[in-house]
Amino acid sequence: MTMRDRVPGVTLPWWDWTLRPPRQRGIPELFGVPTAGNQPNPLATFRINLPNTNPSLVRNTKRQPGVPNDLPAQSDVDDVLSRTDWSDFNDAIEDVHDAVHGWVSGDMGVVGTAAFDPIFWSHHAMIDRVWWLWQVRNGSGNISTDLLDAVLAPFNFRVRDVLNVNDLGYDYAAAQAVASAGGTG
Amino acid sequence: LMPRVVYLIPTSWATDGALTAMAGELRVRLGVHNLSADQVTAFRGAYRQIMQISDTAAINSSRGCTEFQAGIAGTISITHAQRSKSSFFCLGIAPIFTISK
Repeated sequence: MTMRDRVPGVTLPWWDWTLRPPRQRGIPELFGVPTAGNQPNPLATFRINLPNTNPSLVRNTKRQPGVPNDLPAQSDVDDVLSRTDWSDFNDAIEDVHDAVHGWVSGDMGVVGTAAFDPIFWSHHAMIDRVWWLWQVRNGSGNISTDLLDAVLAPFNFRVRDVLNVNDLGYDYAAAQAVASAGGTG
Repeated sequence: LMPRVVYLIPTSWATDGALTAMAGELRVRLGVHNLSADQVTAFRGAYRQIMQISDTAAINSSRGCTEFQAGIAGTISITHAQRSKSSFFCLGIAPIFTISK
């Protein structure tokens, strides 16, 4: 949303780590190339600049990605989407989410620094997309009321306020079609 | 011992940006692999702007968003690969570092 505030026409793209060669070999080129247009690629690394924290963190983010075939496959996403119970779905998508963090490794593999890596946001857009696809199929009826009413401090939102991505000002391309077609694509 | 959580983010910041974005028109997110050359350039340009937000005002600016997200995501001693299925309940309890002025 900060990005949209600054560049109104831009959207956050999702990184579909299920794609395999020739469409993708590990880290997408968009994030991987060190330079773009004769400038440093801002999606390749991010400067952490926290000199006054304890411990201080002042350096660029790093990645140590694994072998491309070790990324979650479409079958893993299909399995996640097949869980009709929310709690089962939650556990399954958490495992896939964690696996990608571990695959990228480096700062992405550490919870406390992961969000500094630019690819974090596109990875989470993919997770958010799968979560949205699940909702299109299953709704939100079997999520406990306690959880739906949980406040997302420091934001003045409850969980139920942020379930629908359309209410947050965005949608995923072909989300409805993908959901009805069985989660492929 | 986990460090005490110290969030120095103005209350207004927490919702102002979101409300601004939400008041706009609906945006359709695309896959990274479906972006046109112009969209890639726009995405990179937008991210470059985010990086240029003043570091010195980090905790009072949108740059603090990244710090906050990083901190709220968990603890320094737990990597994503090591998280258990129940680690959801750890979220927001302990950041990796404390922020002080």
